[in-house]
Amino acid sequence: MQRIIDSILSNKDVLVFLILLLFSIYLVIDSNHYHQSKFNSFSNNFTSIIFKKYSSLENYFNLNHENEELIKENLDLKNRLYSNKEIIYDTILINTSHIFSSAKIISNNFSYSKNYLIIDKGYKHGINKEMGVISSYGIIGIIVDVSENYSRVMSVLNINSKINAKIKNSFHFGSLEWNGEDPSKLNLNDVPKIAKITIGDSIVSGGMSAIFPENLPIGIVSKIDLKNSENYYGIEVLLNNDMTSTKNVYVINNIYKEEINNLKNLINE
Amino acid sequence: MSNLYFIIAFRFVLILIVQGLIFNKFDLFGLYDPHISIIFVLIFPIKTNRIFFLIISFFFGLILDYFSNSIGINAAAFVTIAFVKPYIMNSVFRNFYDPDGIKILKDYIQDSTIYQKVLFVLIIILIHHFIMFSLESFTIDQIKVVIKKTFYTSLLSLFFCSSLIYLLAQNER
Repeated sequence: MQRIIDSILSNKDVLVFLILLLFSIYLVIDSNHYHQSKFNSFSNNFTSIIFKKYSSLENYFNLNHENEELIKENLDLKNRLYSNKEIIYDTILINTSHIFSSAKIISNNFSYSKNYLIIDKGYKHGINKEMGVISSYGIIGIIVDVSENYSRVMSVLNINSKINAKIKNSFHFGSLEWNGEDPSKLNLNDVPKIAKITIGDSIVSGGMSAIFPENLPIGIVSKIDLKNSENYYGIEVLLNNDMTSTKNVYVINNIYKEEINNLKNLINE
Repeated sequence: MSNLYFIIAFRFVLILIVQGLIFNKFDLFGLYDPHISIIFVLIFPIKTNRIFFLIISFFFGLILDYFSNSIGINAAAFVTIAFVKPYIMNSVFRNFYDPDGIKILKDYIQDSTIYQKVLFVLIIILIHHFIMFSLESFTIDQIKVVIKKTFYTSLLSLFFCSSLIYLLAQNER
């Protein structure tokens, strides 16, 4: 131990130099978006290869579970197809504004306060920034970085993520955020006091953003917090999907996104 | 000794202002700025503590970054040249270099050959510029542009730095 300390002390110039150098490089990366994305895409490419190998192994062990999930989903879809009379096969009424494509999560995180996922589709497969990612049961996140074969998804379990959501029956909407604690719960903020909410109500996506279509299931209300001094509810939402074990996801491409964004920019000007 | 630190503080402020407000807007041929701020490291008194030298250089670079809107880039470059300066002095000036710092700037200028002087300044400038431009572009693809920029800007900085050092040495006590 004494020797280790001695050797550190005798090289303290080098140590100070390295600390200062690393700190300044950290500053460079941290303060510039260009450097940040460059660094991210590099580390994306590098780690994705490893994750892919590991994930293909892990997939094999999860096959049983995945099969069950698929059967459930099939059942659900069949039920809707044969029992629901509302479906009318008219080409005008079919919602074609969103195109879905499938992808697999190859790396998932939920232990940090800013969590990201990596999926195995990139710009080669037509993935772009700001596309939504969902699973069969709920919302996963939004794509923030794209490389050739992989994409980085900002998980809903990220304190920077804000997703427009509403209460299914009352149509009051708010923004869905994470407080960084429990990966199975999100907070729905900014819902006004006049909304009538009870525990067990369904929360679905709001359709106010161009990223997610309306009425995607997200979760159910598990706790309502009404502070007298404020005009908004604090609602705790229990997620439908288990973020920690999801494997197969769908990427949503809104083909009218650019048009909507152009219109929004027009308003801002 | 306090006189020494006063001189360092004075140079610190003066060189920052001159570089940040005048030479950063030089823009020769539209893109080359001479970096005279390197003379802060070049003429930094040798007899000061080395860690003090590293930390002061870091903050010098960092404040300069705030002037040129490139957070961290100059800080990294300045820390590096501050770190390698003694080794380069040792290999360029050989027996003539004294690590205790009894000799002053004037001695170095009078007693070394022109080849040694230019080589020393040029190596430090090249290291600084190369780190600065490669951190700025931050990609391997643009290495040709980085080398080209390093080369031209170094020549420009060399001219300005050597003239300024010469002027400063004239007035040194």
